[in-house]
Amino acid sequence: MNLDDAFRKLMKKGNLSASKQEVTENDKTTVAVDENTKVTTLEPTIEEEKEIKFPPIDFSQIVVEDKFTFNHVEERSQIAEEYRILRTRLQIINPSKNSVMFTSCRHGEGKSSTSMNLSLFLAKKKDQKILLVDLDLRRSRVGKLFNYKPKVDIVDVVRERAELEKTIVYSKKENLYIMPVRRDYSNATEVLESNNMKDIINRLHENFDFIIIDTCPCLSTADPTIVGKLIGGAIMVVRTRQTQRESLEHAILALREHNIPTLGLVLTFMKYFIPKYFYRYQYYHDTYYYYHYYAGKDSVDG
Amino acid sequence: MASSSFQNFTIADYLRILFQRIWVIILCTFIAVCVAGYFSIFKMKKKYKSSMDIKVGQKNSKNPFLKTLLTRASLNGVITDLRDKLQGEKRLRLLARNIRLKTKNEYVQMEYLKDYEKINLPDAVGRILKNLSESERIEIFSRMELVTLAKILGVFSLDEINPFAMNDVSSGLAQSEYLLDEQNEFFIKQLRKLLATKSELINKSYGLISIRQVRERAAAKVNAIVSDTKKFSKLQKIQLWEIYKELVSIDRLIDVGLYNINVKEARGYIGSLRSGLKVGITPNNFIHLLYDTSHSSLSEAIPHLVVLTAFEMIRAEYYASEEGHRIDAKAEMRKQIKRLSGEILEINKALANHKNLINLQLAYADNKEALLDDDKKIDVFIMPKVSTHVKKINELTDEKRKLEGEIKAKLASIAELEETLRNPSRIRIIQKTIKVENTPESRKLEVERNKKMEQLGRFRLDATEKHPMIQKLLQEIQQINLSLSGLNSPIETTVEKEHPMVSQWKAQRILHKEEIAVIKARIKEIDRNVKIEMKKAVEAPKRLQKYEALQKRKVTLTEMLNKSQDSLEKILAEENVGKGILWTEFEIYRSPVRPLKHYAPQVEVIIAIGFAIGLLAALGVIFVIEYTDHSIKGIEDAKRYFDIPILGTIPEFEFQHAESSYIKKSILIRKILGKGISSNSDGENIITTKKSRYLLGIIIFTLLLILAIGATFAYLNKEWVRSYYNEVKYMIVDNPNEKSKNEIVITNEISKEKPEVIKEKNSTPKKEIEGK
Repeated sequence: MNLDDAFRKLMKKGNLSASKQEVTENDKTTVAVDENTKVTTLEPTIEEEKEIKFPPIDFSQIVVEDKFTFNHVEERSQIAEEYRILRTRLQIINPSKNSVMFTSCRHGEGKSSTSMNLSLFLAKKKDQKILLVDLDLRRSRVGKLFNYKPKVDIVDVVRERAELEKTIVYSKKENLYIMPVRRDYSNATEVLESNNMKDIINRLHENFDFIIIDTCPCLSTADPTIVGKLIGGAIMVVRTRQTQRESLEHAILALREHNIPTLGLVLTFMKYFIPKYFYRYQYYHDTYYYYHYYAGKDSVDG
Repeated sequence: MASSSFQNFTIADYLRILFQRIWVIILCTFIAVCVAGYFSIFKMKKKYKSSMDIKVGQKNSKNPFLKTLLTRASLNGVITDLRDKLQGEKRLRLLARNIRLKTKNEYVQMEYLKDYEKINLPDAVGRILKNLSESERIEIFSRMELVTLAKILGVFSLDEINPFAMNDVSSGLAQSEYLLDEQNEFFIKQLRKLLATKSELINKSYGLISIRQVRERAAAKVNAIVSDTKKFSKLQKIQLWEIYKELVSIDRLIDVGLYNINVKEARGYIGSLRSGLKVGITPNNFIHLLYDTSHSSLSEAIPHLVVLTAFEMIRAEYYASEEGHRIDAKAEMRKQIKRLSGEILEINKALANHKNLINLQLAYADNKEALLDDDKKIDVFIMPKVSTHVKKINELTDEKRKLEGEIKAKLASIAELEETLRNPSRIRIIQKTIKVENTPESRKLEVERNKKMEQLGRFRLDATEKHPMIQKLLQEIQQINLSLSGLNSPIETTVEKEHPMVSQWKAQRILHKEEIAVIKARIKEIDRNVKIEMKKAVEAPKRLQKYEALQKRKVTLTEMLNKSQDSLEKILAEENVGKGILWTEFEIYRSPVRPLKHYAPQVEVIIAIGFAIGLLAALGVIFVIEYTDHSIKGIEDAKRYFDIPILGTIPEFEFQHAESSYIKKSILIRKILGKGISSNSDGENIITTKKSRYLLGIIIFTLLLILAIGATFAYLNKEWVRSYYNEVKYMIVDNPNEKSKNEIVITNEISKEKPEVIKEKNSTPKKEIEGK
């Protein structure tokens, strides 16, 4: 009971603060919150040119690759459809700073794989610039997944040893910008807390259409709370049959304490032990699936 | 926020829980099945159903010593007493005091039984034999019926089983010395005979039990004893030991349960035997025993108590089945015998009467030898009878003739008298008188008067003077006379007078007639007598026929009586089945066979039960796991506990980084296992959804399990057969006619085929095992 109340209060606070900030920063964006439905809906907004405080990124200096070598998800498989659903729902939520952070309670729950695949699917819109940033400095995975070893990374930029453009890699085939990490760092929090990091992320926000950030687990480290202040919101990755519901509650509470909104849950490692038509949420599931499948096919994929 | 209770659960949830934890179910069931299998195969006691056929003869042993022994050991008494005995030691002592040995005419109290706890059986037997006279002792040994008993005892007198076998040898020998009498050659001869037969018997008996080692040892022992004739005195001792070992074993059989078996053990033993023992009697006096054994070897499985209890059971069943019927039959037979004996008594009386008559006749008969011939019999027995009757008839007929002659004479005299009476000239006398002148009227009157006179005369011939017609006529005549006297004047007339003899003649005639009537009556009597005599004369030969018929009837009746008496005796004998048959005459027709497969414990059933228990345990475990597990299982749980929207549900898939050698190497295996990875034409790894291969896995697992169980069973069976191969071989030898070993076949017919002769290389004595 106490938990529920705390939850609601925090939810209200977080939303209000976020909206206030938005109002102050950008006068023409409005956010409406329905408390009864508890689903954030967005009214259509008119985009305008933003003030550029940071210098723009020189895309000509970015490292360009023809293609990455990684494990492709099959286009027609169930997994791909699920990622498409995730993509469309993200579009509905429309996070405030056009950036999203993936966290979880513990490691090994599928943060890296979901962020990677989601960025790949988002990048299929050819006119948008999607960036995948690896801020899991302690246990970096993005470089390994894409089979790419960079010479310089974001930590070098923070320490002013290298330029930002040299850390970004672009592949022509996938239309995706990634920022992999060179090696594992033990002093990750100090790096993330620095002012240079803030500047870098703000700069990236201004230059890219959508940024996906892969971070550390929420309960074991404080990194996601630091990173979360700089970006639009967090998405909790929940590994089914492993993540305890108490720990998930704790993680969400920890994020709320720093006014970081949890935009939603992504359940990974889903397993259907019995045929799907036995499940209660079959109707719910299928309608969303078909609607977004056909919508996405016409507008995005085609 | 939604509650965490199970009320919101649906069938889908429960199904999901079950299928999610299917490995728990498999593991639990597997463990339960393994445990059940282990205990049922290795740990639990195996029980086998075995059976034996025993042939029972109906001869009655004539040896009084044996008889008394055997009657004393009649199972009814022994078993009931044994049963009571086991209930307490007091009972045991009482019974011990009551046991007595009966010789020919006297009871010999067994002294040793007074202090039963300190009993020494060889000693006791020695005392018994002391009490007997030498002639009695010789009788006992001379009777070969002891051998038949030894047939039974030979089965049980193994050294391994017999508790007094080796320990009491020395004491037995010491006790037996008093029996030694080297001068008594007859005694020694009998001993030799006994030993010769006993060697065979031992072979047979040990063969039945099929313990090769014991058998060979015993055979060697006997051979050594028989062959070494030089050591005669020692031999004698050994022989004696052998003999009264038998005697001891007799007594041991009788007093089984008293001596060397603990009370608790015996009780348990009998209980276990009684529970699984079935007995049947076939028409040919075959006793079929069926019993459970949980013992490893046959020697343990058939101790003395088996036989005792078995026969007790036989008796019980036999009586239960036929007692009522037998009682009815007995009553009927007794009634019939009464009736027949009564009839026979009556016939005997009748025959005695006849005999008396015959004897009387014989007394008068001159020729007694003539009785032997059938032709002369008639002259002697029948003719005298007939002749007396004939004589009487002749006399009667003579009388009759005389009487008839008299009648004729009298009739003739009557006729003469009548002739004389009819003649009027002879009857009347004419007298002349004065006539009166006749007028016409007077004349008429005179004519009338004459006519009436004539009439009167005729009447007077036939009738008397008092006859009314005559008197009437006389009156009319007087009136006519009166009228004439008035009319006429006297005239001279002639008067007629009657003859004075007429009245005499008439009287004589009447007398004659009366006499004739008397004579006729007499003749009638005579005729009657003649008829009677004639009848008697005819009936005289029929009496002999009656006599013979009676004799025949007697013969038939006696036959019937004998028959009914025999049947009654049979019935009475049947009542003594337990007493007469059991101990004296029976031989093991089909020796007990240990079946190849045990009937308990039923491994399959136990494993099935184990499987069920494992399932239940698995359910319990799953419940506990599910109750304690707070992880988020799916969309339902996430919705239930959190209000945050669910953006996506990404299924499980294999996702390693591309450079991983782990994936590259194992792509083929992962394809087969349905892990959801395949390689592209460009050499890229492509991820798809995982394919569920749970069912295949479960099927393979169960198949493997079944295979494993089958293999273990096969292995076990093979081992079993191998270890008992020798025994099985013997069993086959023992029962050449037996086809099915596990099934029980009650044989009604005795096989007359000759037994097979088996020659083995190593064994010294040749073994002949009879099928019969």
